[in-house]
Amino acid sequence: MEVVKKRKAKQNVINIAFVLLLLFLVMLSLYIGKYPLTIKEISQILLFKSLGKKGVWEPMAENVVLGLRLPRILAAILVGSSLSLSGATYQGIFKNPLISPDFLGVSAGACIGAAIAIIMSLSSTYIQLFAFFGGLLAVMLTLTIPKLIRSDSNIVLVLSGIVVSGAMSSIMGFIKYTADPQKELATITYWQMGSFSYVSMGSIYSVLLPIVLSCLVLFVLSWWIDIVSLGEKEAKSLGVNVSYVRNITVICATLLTASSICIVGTIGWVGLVIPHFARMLAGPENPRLMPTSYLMGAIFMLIVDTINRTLGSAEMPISILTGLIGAPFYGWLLYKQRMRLQ
Amino acid sequence: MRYSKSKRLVAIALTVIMLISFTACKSSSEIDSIPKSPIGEKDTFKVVDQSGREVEIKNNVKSIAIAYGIPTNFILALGKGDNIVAISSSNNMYTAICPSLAHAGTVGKGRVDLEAMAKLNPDVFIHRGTDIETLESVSALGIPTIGISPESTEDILETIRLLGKALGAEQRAAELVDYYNKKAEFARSITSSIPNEKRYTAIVMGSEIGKVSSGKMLQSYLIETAGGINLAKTIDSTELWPVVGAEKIFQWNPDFIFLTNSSASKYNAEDLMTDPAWSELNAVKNNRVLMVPSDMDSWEFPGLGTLLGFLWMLQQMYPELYSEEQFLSEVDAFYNMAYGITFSRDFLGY
Repeated sequence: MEVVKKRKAKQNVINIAFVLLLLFLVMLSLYIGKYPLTIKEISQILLFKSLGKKGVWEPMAENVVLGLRLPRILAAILVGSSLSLSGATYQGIFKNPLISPDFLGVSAGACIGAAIAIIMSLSSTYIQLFAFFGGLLAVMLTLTIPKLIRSDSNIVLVLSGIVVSGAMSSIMGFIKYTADPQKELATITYWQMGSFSYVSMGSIYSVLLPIVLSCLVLFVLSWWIDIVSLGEKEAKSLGVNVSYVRNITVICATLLTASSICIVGTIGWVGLVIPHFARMLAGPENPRLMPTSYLMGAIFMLIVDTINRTLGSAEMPISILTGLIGAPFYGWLLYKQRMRLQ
Repeated sequence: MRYSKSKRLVAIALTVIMLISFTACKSSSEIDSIPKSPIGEKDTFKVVDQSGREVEIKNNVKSIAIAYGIPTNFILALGKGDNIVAISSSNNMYTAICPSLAHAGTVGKGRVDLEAMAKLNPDVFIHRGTDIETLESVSALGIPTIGISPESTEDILETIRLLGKALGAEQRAAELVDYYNKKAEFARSITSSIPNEKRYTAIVMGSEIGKVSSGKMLQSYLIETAGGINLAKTIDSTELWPVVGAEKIFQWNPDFIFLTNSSASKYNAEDLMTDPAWSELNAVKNNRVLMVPSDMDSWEFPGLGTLLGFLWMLQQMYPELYSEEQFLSEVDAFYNMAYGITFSRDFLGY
């Protein structure tokens, strides 16, 4: 008991430190960017606006701080934490550390939705809507296949995810083939690789509710996920309705991924790598792992996007950076784990 | 080891708190003041762009930002090149016309770097009319954005008029439109007496073999203005560049095959001329597989240069009606009229 308490306390310290680090990064990120602004100006804009008072500054300065930097920071936090939490959830529920949040086909489906909207020259609101429903549709398809073949096992679900993702990427290939290389193709590519550059407050509000609700449900259920991950027989003998817990968590995790994708496009590596790091710090138990994973995802995404926003003359699609940073870290992680195994 | 780690974390946490309280303290002065007034209403006017959006623009536009290549030739021809403050890419021809382009900044290629755009704060941003997402995002910064879609000839002329109005060069725009129309009329008049069955047939092939310009495309207009018949016009497809395949082209057996110099091209005229499979085609037998000149200024890319596109095709198809000398003097006349400069044949690469 004593040991458990100690570990809990240590975990709390880590989480509080992460929260503070995140706050610090938010402030730092607000203060840096290509548009030249003094610390005083930014602080004034933030303070006066939050108090509802008027101040003297260039209209453009306000647009930059409140219209560009703030939405991007919030989006990075929302998306990073959502992807990471949803990755941790999937990895826990399917007992497979190689699973990333998009394995049920949500990314592929969302990309098709978005690509169709892009080809139809629709506005960004429609691109987001199409992406969201494209993602959900793909996951529904994945969940239907096991039902059709009357199987309830995890393997069949994972395989049906592969089937749906495969079919979706073919359709995506076709759309890209027919897209005009001068116009739509670049937009679709940016979308597939993810980008925070056009995020607005409006798009954040539009996904806030599903994200907050899904996160709450997942945190509440984290305990049950632990039991489910013991194995179906064991969980059943403990009185847990396995398919019930699994379905709810899968739906929530999918909503998280689909919501993030629909505002910034698909972003690789975060949902796969961050939960591993969180597991190193917090251990494999989900009630501890999930909050840490959530915070680490937010921090990682915010750092990466701030780097992307401030360095270089042109912005890159965000997946290029998450891949460049995520892949070597993942390799290092494997190396560390091998050492421990030996 | 574990204790020192947690101590370190506490230390970091304290630093963060200190920093936050520091920045909060700094900003508690100067509270009762008024925001700067925006631009007076009389200084602006409204235009409807080619995406159908109503845009409010300053009367005297002094700075223009662009993030893709097509607007450049229009702006230069309207005489507003010196006002370009951001450009995605330039080439030797553009910098010869307007040396200041060499020093223009950039706000990104395709996707715009919004903070760099805010820093530059141009009077107007001209962009692809189909990229609504970018147009909306830049508009949200308070920068007027104009979407252009110079797809067909009518659209090209409309783009000239629209940009002329927006940039305060309406008179010049009218001149350019007039010049374009006159040249098109002239080209048509040269072949007007030729009956349809005696006209040459042609296709324009795009980025890959078997991909042809449909009747909806600018390239189809070029063939027709030059007195040819676009065989791909009969294709019933909603696509602008349908892939009909090589066999369909063999069946058509066009007299002329024009190639676009799209950078994505996976083949060139030489490949077709030496391929035994293509050897029986009229166009191949008569050495009539030709790349539309585009080394410096593409004559089949949306822009004013397309008038040289149809004149060049006219000269290639009917040299007995329109001589090379006539065409060459037309090239000089065009560049002189549009940009106030002439270029050598070598430089333009034709």
